[in-house]
Amino acid sequence: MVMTNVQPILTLKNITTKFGTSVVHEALDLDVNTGEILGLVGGSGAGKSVLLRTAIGLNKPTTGSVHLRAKQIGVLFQHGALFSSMTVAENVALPLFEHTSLSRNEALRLARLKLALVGLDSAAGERYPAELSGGMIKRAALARALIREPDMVFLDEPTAGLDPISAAAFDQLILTLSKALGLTVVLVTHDLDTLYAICDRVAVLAKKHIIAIDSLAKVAEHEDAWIQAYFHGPRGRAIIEQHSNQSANTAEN
Amino acid sequence: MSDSSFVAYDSSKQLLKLSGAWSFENYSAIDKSLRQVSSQQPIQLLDFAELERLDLNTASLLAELISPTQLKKLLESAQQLQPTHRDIFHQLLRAYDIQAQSEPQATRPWYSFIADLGAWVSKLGYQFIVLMNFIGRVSLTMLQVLPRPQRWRITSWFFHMQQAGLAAIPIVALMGFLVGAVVAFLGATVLRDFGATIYTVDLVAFGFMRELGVLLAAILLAGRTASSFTAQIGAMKVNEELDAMQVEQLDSVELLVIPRILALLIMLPLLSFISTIAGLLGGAVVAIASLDISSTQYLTILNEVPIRHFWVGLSKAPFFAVIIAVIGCLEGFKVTNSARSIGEHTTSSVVQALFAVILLDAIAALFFMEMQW
Repeated sequence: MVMTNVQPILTLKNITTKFGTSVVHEALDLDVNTGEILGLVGGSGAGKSVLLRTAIGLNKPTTGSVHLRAKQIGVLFQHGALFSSMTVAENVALPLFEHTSLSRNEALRLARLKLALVGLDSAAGERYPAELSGGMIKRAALARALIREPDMVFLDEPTAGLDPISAAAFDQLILTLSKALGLTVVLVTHDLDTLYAICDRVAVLAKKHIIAIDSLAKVAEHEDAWIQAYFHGPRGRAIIEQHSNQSANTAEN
Repeated sequence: MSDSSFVAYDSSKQLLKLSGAWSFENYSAIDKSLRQVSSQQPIQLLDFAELERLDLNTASLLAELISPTQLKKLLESAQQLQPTHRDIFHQLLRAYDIQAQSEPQATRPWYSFIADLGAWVSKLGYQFIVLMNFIGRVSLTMLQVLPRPQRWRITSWFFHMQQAGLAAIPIVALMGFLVGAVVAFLGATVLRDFGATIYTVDLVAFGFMRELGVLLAAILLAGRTASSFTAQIGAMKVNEELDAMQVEQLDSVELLVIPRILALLIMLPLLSFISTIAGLLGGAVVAIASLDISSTQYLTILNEVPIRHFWVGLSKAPFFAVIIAVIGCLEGFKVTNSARSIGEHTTSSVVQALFAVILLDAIAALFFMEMQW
């Protein structure tokens, strides 16, 4: 699904971000194409979350320009960022309460449906965020990000802190939603499984800019030492083998 | 955006034709046009040929109109349904399945307020037991720690003395000064009618030495320090630091509570002294400036006030200090794992500490009066 003539939905150009004297990004360029799932990887403290915040507009770059062409965006923050004074269903329905003319009951109906979509039943919807497990908070936060039918979502470590089974289910959910709704997804992750399972392209953030952005197979071949260590270290190797076995199996069948 | 642009009903074939952009901006319009196709009319066929866009919210409108089970059936025979739209309907029907599986919420009967009242009373009783329990635990730990200077947390102790005591001096002094001035004015207004303006000095002196000096300092600490203790310990609780302490076999009472109590035990009497002096000064300024009492006269009358009143007042300070610190810390420990809970317990801690201070002061006043001290 290559659409070369279509404008990218998000363009970051020549971004430099400084906090005091420490430079986080320097002359960074990034394009995100409509409808793709882009994985953003990088070492801890490389500025992935800052880049995400810059793209959303929560953080103003020192220099450079951000063009976001999405009509509606949704954001899943790293720790969910559910409002602690409201029930989960109210959290999800809040954007509808505030920005649409829907009645309260109608908004809550849609919120409960979105919660069910991410796998939370109505009992969970009546609880407060403090009473939920980490995985449930992630799911509820995703439901809130999706409630206004955005055309682009930003996910900050969506599967961090989830068990492998839940993480895989979360990946599949994001993948099916993205393909069905034509969602553009930008996700920050440390989860190699997520990268292999759902990302169309992978961007590597290191040395203050994007050093590689391409399909996972091509990025993994990049000669940069950090990329080699990341994708061909003990963890990366195990997952590459597993996935190549899987594709071999499907090819046989 | 005319209403007919989203759905059309063909009654001869019982066919519902969906068309146009079923996107979320058009949600209300689609809802309206679906309502016009009344649910009384039977729908046996769905035609998606002219459907351009679909999202989950708008798809749920169709499901609400003809019920999810019916929708599932009709989708099998649906005409010209795009694969992406079929995926959306599948996701939607899966969501309805999950909703159907969950148990319905029990509704509360009208007389539930009786149960609420009972729960509230038993909670209050339980809170009192928890407080007593905590005071007992703190006392035991105190007995264990005090004889062993190597277990004193000197750094923490001095830190809290600075935070709760030193940093509070300006505001305590200002409050004492202003209240002293106000009491002097009040006394002057009332006593002038009896020609006893001179007794204003006694009023300020007795008032501040016995009651107001220590009470003002304690009230300020109840608001300023009890809340900060609760917030500090509560934030640690939310961050699981208290659990980490327990796992490392560190006693949170010894590490967190004892230094705070000891800090207040030292600082509250000192702050009370400052508050008393400031109050007397405030009285003096009013007396000298507007009541024609000279400074020598003021000091002479002050000298005649027996010093035991000062000690009676100051003797209450350690009790206030302990109760403020204990309530502040205990409310911190009661915080559950959310930011909201910190706020609730901080409020509760200030209210309880103020109440305890004033209750203790009332009991002490009765006691001292009966003892004729």
